[in-house]
Amino acid sequence: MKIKFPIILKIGLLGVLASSIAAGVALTVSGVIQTKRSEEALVDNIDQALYSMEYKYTEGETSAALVESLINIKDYILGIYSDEDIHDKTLEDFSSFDEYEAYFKSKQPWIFPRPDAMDGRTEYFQFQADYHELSQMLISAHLASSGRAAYVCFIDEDDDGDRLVFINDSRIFNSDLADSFYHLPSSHYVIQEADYKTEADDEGYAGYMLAGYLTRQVPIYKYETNGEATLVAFLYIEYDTVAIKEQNRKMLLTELGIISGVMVITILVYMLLAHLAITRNLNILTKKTDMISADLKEKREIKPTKLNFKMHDEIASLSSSFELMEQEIANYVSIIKTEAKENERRLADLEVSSKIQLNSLPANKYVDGNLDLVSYIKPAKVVGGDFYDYFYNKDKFVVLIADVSGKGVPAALFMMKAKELIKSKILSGLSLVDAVSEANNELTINNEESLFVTAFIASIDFTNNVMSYVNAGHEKPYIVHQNQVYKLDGDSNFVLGGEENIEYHEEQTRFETNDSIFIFTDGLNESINKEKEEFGYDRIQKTLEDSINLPLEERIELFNANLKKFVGNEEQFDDVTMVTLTRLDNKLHLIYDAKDYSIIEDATDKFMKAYPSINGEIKSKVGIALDELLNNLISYEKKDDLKIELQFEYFKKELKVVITSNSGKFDPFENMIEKYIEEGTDNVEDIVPGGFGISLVASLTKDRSYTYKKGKSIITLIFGE
Amino acid sequence: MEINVSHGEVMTIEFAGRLDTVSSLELSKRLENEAINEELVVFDMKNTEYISSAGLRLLLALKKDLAKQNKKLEIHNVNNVCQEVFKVTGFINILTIK
Repeated sequence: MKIKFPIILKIGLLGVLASSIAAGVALTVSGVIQTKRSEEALVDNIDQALYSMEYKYTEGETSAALVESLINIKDYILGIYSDEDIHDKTLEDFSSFDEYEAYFKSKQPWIFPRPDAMDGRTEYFQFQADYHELSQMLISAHLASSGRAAYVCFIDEDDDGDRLVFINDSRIFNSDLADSFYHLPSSHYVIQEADYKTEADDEGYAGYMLAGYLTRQVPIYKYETNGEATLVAFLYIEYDTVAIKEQNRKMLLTELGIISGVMVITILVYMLLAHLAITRNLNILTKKTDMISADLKEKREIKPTKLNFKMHDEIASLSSSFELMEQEIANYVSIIKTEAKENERRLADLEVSSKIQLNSLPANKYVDGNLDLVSYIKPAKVVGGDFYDYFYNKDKFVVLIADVSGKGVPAALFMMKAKELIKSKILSGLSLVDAVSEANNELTINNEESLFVTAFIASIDFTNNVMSYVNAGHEKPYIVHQNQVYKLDGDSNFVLGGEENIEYHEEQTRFETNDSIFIFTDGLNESINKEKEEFGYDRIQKTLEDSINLPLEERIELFNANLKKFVGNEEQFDDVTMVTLTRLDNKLHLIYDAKDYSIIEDATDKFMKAYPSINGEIKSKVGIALDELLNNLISYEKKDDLKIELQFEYFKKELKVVITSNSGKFDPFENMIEKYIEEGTDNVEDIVPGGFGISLVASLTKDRSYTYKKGKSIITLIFGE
Repeated sequence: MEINVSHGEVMTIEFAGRLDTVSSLELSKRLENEAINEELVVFDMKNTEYISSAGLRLLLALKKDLAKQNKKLEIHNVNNVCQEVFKVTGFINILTIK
C-alpha cells in the first residue's frame, strides 16, 4: 500500500497544533500582563514626575519664587493676550494656517527666546529667565515621566467661556514642533473640549483624554499669607496609550516570531527523532513483511533474518515478535511443502490403486452367443469396496456382485482378496455352495479388521435353463422375464468373512432365452436426495420396467440418468455398482428339402439376422462356407429328394455350424488337397467348384469334421476369433 | 446385391453384397453385355461383404479375357475377409489388388 499520510507528519502536525495553542495562550496572557504592567509603570513615572513638580511649586523651598515667576509669565502672556486684535482672532479668520502663523509672528516677535528676536529689554529678560526655568522643569518632568509631553496651562475666564491657555511645553527645544507651533502665542491654544475628563484618582490627579493621548493634570496654587489659595495654573503630563499598545504589540509579534521559529525547529528535531525511533523501524518491518509476502507468492524459500533493533522499546518488542513469526512461517511453509508432497504422493498412489482395482474388474461390456452383459461401477472414494465379476466355469456362466463393508484402501484390499478367492474356489470345481463356504472360511481367517462382504453369486447353466445362486446378505436382484419385472426371492445367507463354517444355501430359478437379470449394490437403492429420501426399490423396479426393450447399455444409462435426477447435488457417499445381463437366443435351426440354389441365399440371410452380436468377419466366413458347401451339395448330389438341415449354435465366443444331409457318404475334408493358385496361373479351369472351395472353407474354420451316420452326412464347422 | 458399372477413362465395376455362387452368375451375365473399350477395368469391392470360390472364378475369367485384349484389371477397396480369401487361395499373387 502506498502511504499517503505518514505517521511522522501526523505527529508533526499534532505537535504544531498543541504548541501553537500553548504559545498563543501564553503570549496572550503575557501580553495582557505586560501591557498592564508597562501602563502602570508609566503612570507611576508620570505620577512621580507630577509629584516632584507639584512639590517644587507648592511645598519646596523655592516654591514661592517659582510660583511668582509662573505668575509673571502668566501676566506677561495675559498682557499680550489682552490685545483685542489678538484676543479675538481665531484660526477661522485666516485662509490658511501659514497666514495665521505669520500674523502672530508679526505681532509678537519677541515672545520666544530666539536669538534674532532679542532686544535687551529688562522686562523681557526677566520673562525669559522665568520662562527658561519653567522649560527646564518641564523637560526634566517629561524625561522623568517617559511621557509624550509635559506642559503648563492656565485658565482664562472669559465671558465667552473658559479657555485653557498654553504657557510652555517640554518639547519646545527638541522637537520639529518648536518651529511650527511654539512660536505661536499660548493664547491660541485654547484647550478644546476634551474627549473625556478623568476623575481624580487615588493620588488626587485628574486628567483628560484628547485625541488618543491620556493626560494627567495637577493644579498649582499660590498660597497667601492668610492661607487662601489661588489657582495659578495646571501642570500636565501627556502620555500615549496607543504607542504603548503598539509597542507591546510589536514586542508580542517579535516574541511570536521567535517562539514560532524555535517551535518549528523543535518540531523538526522532534519529527526527526520520532522518525528514527518509530517510523524508520516501522518501515523496515513493512519492507520485511512485503518481502515475506513476495516470497510466499513466488513460492520462494523464506530465510528468516535478524532485524537487530538497538532500542529496547515497543518497536523492538514488535520486531522480536516479528522475527519469531517469520521463523514460524518459514517452519510452517516447509512443513506444508513436505505434507503437500506427501499428500501428492499418496493421491498418486491412490489413483494407481484405483486403476489397479478397476483394471482387476472385467470389462463393462461382454457379449457372446449366450449372453449380453453390461456393468457399471462408480466408487464413492478413489478406491472403493464394491466389485463385480463374471467368467465361464466350464460351460456355466458365473456372474457375481459384492460389497465390502468399509471404504477406502482397507476395503479395496479386502475386495481384491475376496474377488480372487471366490473366483478361484468356483473354478476349482467345487459346487457353488462349497466354493462360497470355503471362500467365507478363508476370508474369516486373520480378518482382524472385521471386514465382511455381502455378495450375490449366480451360475447360469445354458443347457437346462437354470440359474443357481447364493445370496450372502446382499440386495436381492431383479429378473425380467417375458416383459415382467420381479424381485428374485430367496433365502439370504450370512455375509462372507463374518464367521467361519457358515452353511450357505443355494437357490435355483429358471433363466431362459431372453430373460434378463439386474444385480446391484446398496449404493443404488440407498442413494439419498436433498430430502434424505432413498432412491429405493420402487424406482429400481420402475426403471427396469421402462427399459425392458432397450439395449442393456441404455438400461444402465437410464438408471444413471434417473439416479442423477433424483440425487441432485447431494454427495455420493457409497459406491454404486450395477450389472445386468440378458440371455441370448444362440440356436438357429433351418430345414430345406429343395434342390435349389436359392436356399443358399435364404439360409445365409436367416443366419445373418439371427446373430446380431456376432463379429462381422466370422459371419462372412460362415457365408462363404455355406456358399461353398451348399453349392457342392446341390451341384454334385445325384439324389433328387435332397434334404438339408442346418443347425447353428453360438456358444461362448464360438459358432458351431452343423450341415446334415441325406447325400451319399463323401468326406470333403478327407484327402483334401490344398488347392493353391500359383503366381502366373491364368487357367480358370483350375478353380473347380468343390475341391477349391473346400480348401477355402477349411482355411476359414477353426475346426471341421465329417461323419456319416444312419444314412446322413454330417459336416460340423467351428468358427471363432 | 447391387451391380454398378460406369464407363469413362476407366471402367469401374462396383459390386455390393455377397459375391457368391448365385450373384457371380448374375454378375457374369451382366458383364457379358458390357462393351469394354477402356484400357483399365477397376473392380471396386468397397461394398462387397465377402467372396466365395465362385466369385474368384469370375475374377480370374475376367482378368484372362482382358489380358487377351491387352487390358488390365485392378481390384480396389478389399475388406479384411476378402483379403484373407485372396491370401489363402493365392489370388493375392495373380490379381492386382490396390
